[in-house]
Amino acid sequence: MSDRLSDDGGILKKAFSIIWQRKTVAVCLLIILVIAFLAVFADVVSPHSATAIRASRRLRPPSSVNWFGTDEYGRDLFTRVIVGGRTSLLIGFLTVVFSCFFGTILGIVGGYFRKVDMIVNRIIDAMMAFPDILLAITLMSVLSPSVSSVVIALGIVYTPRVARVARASTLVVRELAYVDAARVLGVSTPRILVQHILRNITSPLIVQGTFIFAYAILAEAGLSYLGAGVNPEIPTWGGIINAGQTYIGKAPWIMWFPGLFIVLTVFSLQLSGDALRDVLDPRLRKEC
Amino acid sequence: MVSAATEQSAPASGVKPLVEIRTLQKHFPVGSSWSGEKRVVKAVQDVSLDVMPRHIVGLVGESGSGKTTVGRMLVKLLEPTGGEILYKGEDVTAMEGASLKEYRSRVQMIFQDPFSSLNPRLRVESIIGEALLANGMTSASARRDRVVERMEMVGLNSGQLRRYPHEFSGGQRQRIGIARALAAEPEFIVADEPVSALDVSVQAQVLNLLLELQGRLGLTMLFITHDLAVMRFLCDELVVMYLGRIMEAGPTEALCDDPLHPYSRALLSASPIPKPGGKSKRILLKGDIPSPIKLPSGCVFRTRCPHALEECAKTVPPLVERRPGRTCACIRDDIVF
Repeated sequence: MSDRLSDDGGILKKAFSIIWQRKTVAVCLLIILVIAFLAVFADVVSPHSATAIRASRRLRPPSSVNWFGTDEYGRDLFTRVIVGGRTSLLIGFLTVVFSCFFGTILGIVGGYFRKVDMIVNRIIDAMMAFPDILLAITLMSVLSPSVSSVVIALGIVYTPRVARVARASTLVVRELAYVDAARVLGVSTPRILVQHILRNITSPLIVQGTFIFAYAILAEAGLSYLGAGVNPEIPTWGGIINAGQTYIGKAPWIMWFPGLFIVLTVFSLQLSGDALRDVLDPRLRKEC
Repeated sequence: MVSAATEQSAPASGVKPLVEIRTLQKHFPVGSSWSGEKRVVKAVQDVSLDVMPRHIVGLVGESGSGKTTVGRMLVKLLEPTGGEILYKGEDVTAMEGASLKEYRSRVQMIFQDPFSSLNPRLRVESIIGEALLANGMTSASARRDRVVERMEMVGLNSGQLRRYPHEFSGGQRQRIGIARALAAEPEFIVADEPVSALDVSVQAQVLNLLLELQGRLGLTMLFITHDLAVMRFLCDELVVMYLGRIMEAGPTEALCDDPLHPYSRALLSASPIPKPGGKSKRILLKGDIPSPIKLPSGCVFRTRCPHALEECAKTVPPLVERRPGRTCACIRDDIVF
């Protein structure tokens, strides 16, 4: 009954019941956990080094020694892929945090205050007129090639997308009677923005966040390919795929495995994002 | 049923109105056309009315008559284009800082739609407690006590404190809305069609509750409605609006028994007579309410008035006292008397 779910343990109970009832969500969470575990404990999990070059073992297909095969320098691909997960996941996660933080603030402020909106909206339009990767390259050209630079560059690139979504949702919620009610009660504007606007626009923002996670991993790959990403010594999923392009005929597995990891991660994150959205929405909490 | 028409002590000359509205105006700009011509919707024009303490004044009219706009200006959700609103003699539009905060705690609103007026992500406790928090009641336990007290006052029980709005029915949600409006102990309530979104059976319960609370807490109310049965049941005085202007105002019983203005007559003839065999002659108005962008000249009602003359197009009829305590805006002396 709804009674039981509405008391204090509601959200946790709800989360467990959603995981329990939607087996796919449980599988997705498991996949994310495994990939994160592999990334963190790569040194323990794999006997190989991610950077050791062995010319005699170039472009070997997957085998019991090299589970995912080897690349053009004879480096073990399994190790490179799980180590690459560190950087790729970190960049994806931090980019989402960066762009959601600033994008949400810009979007809510722009959507709620009409005068500010004139300015904010023009800036967003201008930024969105640039192709993503071009803007990222331009930003990278003024920053040094490091993980934090990539996060800042991609964060700036994706901030307008979040701002767009946040602004559109704010425009809808702002007109609802409960916002009027709060104003009549004398609730302060910052509190209205957080309690009444932000809390009611989280669903589209979570969905947008999972998209950006995926885009950021791919965009980082693009930047690495163009030499504008992180230091090429550091393996990343995108970097491995780009390097493997040259050998697509001879050694297609170089692209398969990092590609598979990207797909699994992005897919799992999106389904988990949907589940998270449902957990946070009291209206949907009852039905599950 | 409790009768709303119980004689309230007639305003003695010493009693001052709680709320005075003077020639209130509200114009909304409607996007300028590319030729640069600016158009405005004149939603409220020259509305003046007094609300005496502990009275329920009904603001009546069809959709588009500007009654909700008047209500929203009273609670400062809209700024008037012209005119003034005085609360206990103080100009509401000029209020800032501390006096505005005080006003916010004294004047509250009950909304029409109980579904969009409650934040779906907050628990009932937070929804009702928000007014208390805004008024500086920082102690969570004191807030909770007051919230429980208010919930019981409106017929909810404290076991429902931690529920979300979607777990309630429409009538219960409106009770939450009422509890929220009453949380900060207001003196004056603007009720914007608080029962029009509810089932008829629930309407009666909510109206009885409002009436009971009004008597118990000594509230003054501006009750916005288009429902004739509701206004008869609840209101001490009525103000009939049409296209942003007041057509007629007066005590409920007198106005309902003997409407002076042709519009009030047509409006009242639309409601069934609660008496077996009671005969009513329906006055059917021609056409639709005109666009508020292009208002008729002179009397705004003349395009649909069965008694309109040529003179009606020339001057805006002033609201004049026709009977003791009753005003009417019509130049047809022969009709009104």
